[in-house]
Amino acid sequence: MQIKINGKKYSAKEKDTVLDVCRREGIRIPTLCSHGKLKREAVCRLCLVEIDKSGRLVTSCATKAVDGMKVETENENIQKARAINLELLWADHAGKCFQCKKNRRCELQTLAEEYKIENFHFVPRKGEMTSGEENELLLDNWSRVVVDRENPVIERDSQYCVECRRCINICPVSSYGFNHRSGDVVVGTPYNQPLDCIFCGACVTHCPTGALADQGDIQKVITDLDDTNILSVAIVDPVVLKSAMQELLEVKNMENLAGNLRALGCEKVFDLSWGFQKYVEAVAEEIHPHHARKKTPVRQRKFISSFCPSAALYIQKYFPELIKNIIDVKRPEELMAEAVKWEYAKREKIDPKNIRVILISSCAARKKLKSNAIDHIVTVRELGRIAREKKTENIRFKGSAADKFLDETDAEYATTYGYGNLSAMTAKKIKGDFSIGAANGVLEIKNALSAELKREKHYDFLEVMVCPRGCERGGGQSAEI
Amino acid sequence: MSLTVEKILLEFSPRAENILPAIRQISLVFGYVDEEKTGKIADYFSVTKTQIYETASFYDNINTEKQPPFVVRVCFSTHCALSDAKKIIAEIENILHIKLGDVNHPKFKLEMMSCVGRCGEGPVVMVNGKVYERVTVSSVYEMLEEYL
Amino acid sequence: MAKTEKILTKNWGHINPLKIADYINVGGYGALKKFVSEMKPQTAIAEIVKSKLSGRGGAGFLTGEKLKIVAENASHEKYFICNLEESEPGTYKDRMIVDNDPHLLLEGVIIAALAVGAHKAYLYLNGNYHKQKEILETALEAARKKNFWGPGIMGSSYDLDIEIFSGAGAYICGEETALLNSIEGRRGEPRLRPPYPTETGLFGKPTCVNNAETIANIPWIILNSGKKYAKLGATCSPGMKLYILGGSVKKPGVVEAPTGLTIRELIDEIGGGVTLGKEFWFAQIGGASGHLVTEKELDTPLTFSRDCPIPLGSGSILVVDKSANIYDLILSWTEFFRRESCGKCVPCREGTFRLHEIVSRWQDGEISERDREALKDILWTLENTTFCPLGRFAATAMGDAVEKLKILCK
Repeated sequence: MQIKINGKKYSAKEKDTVLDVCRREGIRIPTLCSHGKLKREAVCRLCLVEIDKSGRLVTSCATKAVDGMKVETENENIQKARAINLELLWADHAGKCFQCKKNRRCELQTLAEEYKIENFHFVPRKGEMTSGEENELLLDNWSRVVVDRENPVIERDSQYCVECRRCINICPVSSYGFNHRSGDVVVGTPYNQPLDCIFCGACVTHCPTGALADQGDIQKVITDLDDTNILSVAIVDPVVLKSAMQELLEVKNMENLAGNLRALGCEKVFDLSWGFQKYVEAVAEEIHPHHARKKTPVRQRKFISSFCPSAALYIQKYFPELIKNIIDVKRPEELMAEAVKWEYAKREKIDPKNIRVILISSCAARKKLKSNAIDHIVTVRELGRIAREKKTENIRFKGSAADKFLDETDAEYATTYGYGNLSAMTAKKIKGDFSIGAANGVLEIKNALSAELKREKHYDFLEVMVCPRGCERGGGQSAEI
Repeated sequence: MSLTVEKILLEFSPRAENILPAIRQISLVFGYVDEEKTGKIADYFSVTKTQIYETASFYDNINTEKQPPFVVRVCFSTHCALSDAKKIIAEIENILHIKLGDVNHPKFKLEMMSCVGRCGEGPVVMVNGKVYERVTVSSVYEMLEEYL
Repeated sequence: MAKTEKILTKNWGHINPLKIADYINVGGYGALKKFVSEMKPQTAIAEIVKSKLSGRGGAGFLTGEKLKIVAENASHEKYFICNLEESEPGTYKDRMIVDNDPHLLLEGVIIAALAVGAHKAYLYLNGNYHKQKEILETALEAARKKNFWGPGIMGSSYDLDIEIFSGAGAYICGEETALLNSIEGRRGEPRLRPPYPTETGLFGKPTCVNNAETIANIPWIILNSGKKYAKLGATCSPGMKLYILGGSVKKPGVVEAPTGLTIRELIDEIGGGVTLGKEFWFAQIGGASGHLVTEKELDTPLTFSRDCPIPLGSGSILVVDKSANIYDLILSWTEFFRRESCGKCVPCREGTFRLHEIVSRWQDGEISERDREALKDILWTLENTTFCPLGRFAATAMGDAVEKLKILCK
């Protein structure tokens, strides 16, 4: 069908909303709560448009395209509505940007800049209130703020929250709720308990502001990077490249990324594919249907991949009886970090105490199950913050790719590994009768494990990955702004 | 043996339309719904703890925090507000030595409430759910005497 | 004066509301009998359509049309809900129906539920109406014994289960989609529309939600015909209405009168006029979410028509005299909406919050220039960009106070 937007004709598909069409055709409509295929909430009231000169403003995200519709995306009323609603949101955020972890990567900040929200007239200035009123105003706003720094992965600070509900809708284990009512609403956990979830980090990648951010102090990483007495070793998960390009604007390939890391202070940059190969080889060895394994009763056999830390946490919480069936092989980054601190250090004759292993990770959950061999786990978002702090985010660094590690990695492992690749790689190494399965996302994991418990279906090897679109869309990756 | 959460839950069949009534009843009997009870309610109705807390924290007649022994609520909706509600609030503040909205007093809490449908008999004041009608500034002391 | 008839208050004071026998003696459940034995659901709905009865909760939607949409849905599982949340300040008419003639309401519920093809009906009752819950429980038990609901109603093949569902204190739950969420055990937040409840309602099934007063008109329509009902009151939105007179009137209370009366007639003839010694300043029509009318607008007839400049809303008529403290009143309005906003959408959550802040600062009569501008912007966005009508309700009275009472001037 055809609809008209601002006087021009565009084609629209059956289930399109007006916003879908606009996005596809590159017509700018600001939004804060909608996100890809996530449930449309229509609560930010920024994507307003006017249809068929009705005199009413409607949300384009929730209005289905109808043949012959005439849509206006810019007029006096629409601009007024956007400005006022943005400013109402901005009222609680103004002045806080420089201490916020999302500074310069924040959707609200970007919108405020784009729509020139400068006049914060919903919050009185000093001198316009009596001091008693001022105290009450401060107390009232702060009485609803919830801060959670109790876990190593996700930091929550609800003073930055815009109540977009993305985290509520994306969380695979329903950790977040929309609690209380009216202006007292808080997006958080029941009774404001510290987060105790599977730390997949999906909430952080979807949060438009700094309400949900990476836990941890990047200054500690920078201190080590700056310290010339310390050998900083970066282990780069190749899957971060595309996402890193959002943060480091001049990075176009792995060479540039490695160059940037060296410029930041990493004396050595290694590719995590080495660890991945060792991991797959170890797993294949572990689950190969040789004599010892065949003797083990089926229910006792280890068949669940240990690769995804979030999946391990999920099993610990929701399927504790299957913990014993998780394959006992350390994850790629753990294997590699230990190799750095042991074999590599020995070979290079460096005291491991002077080595810092910094993992550049697409995954957030790794921080929860961090081994001691790894000193810092830096998500792509944090890498961006470090680069911006050191002012390298706009510089193109040339040079060679990753440094050579202990031995060569087979070419086939130097690919981005996401959903399905682990089981595919493992399958190549096993000969004979062997059933391999892959469960992608919490729902599939739940079904596969329930089927196992009910003895409906057993796999000789089950790849479990919490992030539905693989590590490439992991919880540590940067979102497009 | 006194009423337990389990006993109360068993009065309701575990259907979705009994979630709010069950939460309400538990809040009424125990004064508020705490974290442990939220978990039990969630399990009983096969929903998440998140949903139970979301729901419980939304409604005025359900408490998710421990309340002081006496909660005084003064209607401040149109009819009562026109009538003398503000003066009544001031008088209550005076007698109980607390401020409107103060959450730290060990014995009393004073708050405004929304219309309860007794507009012909206002001003209306509720103390722990007991309704007082046609309250005047001079009748406030008598109303509060038994709670002091 | 318009044609009038005692429909809703006919039995008030003449029967014992707790005795079903009293109700039956004055012809009660005669409409249900007629429906079950002589009519088909379609014919009953046709009568209600002819009556042009419109929603008495304030929305004013044509009741017959709503019933028709649900009735025509092929789904086997449907629900009928009587909305008795009644949290609009200044409104207690539905409570009075329960206090004085609960069986009239029950009879209407049963007829309407059967007409749309529902097998389960809920009476969604205001959470603070404890006494009314007991009355309804007594009435339900008595009616059940007479087979007026339950399986095999009055010997027919109709069956209907009725349950009382108590609200838990949230004004927004008077909005039908928020009400549905509440019954489903969730937060009382309004839903995105479309789809509408008549198609996708309670538990995703076709649901008809009607205000209690609306339903109470149905037995009379069934017995006397929709055509006769359409002759009562105003032509554009006919029928009888319960008005709630309050504030500085000589005779405050709930009175039944036809639609189409002017505000002056309602205040002077129904309400007995302004209290002695008080000077009329303005009236608020429909509760805290209602418009204000000044002296010069008093001759506006009130109807449910979309063309009527002053919506009737719940039927609450609050008379405010010149001795009233306007700052207390605007604090009351803004405090109410600041508390009752569900918190979902930006303009209402933030707007009602900031509006209340501004009005709190304004209590001494002085408003800063910054607050003055902010107030106008907040009222505009509440009026035009919110997720549900509560935003508009929050802006109505304040907007009128600014425009008609000129409170920003001086």
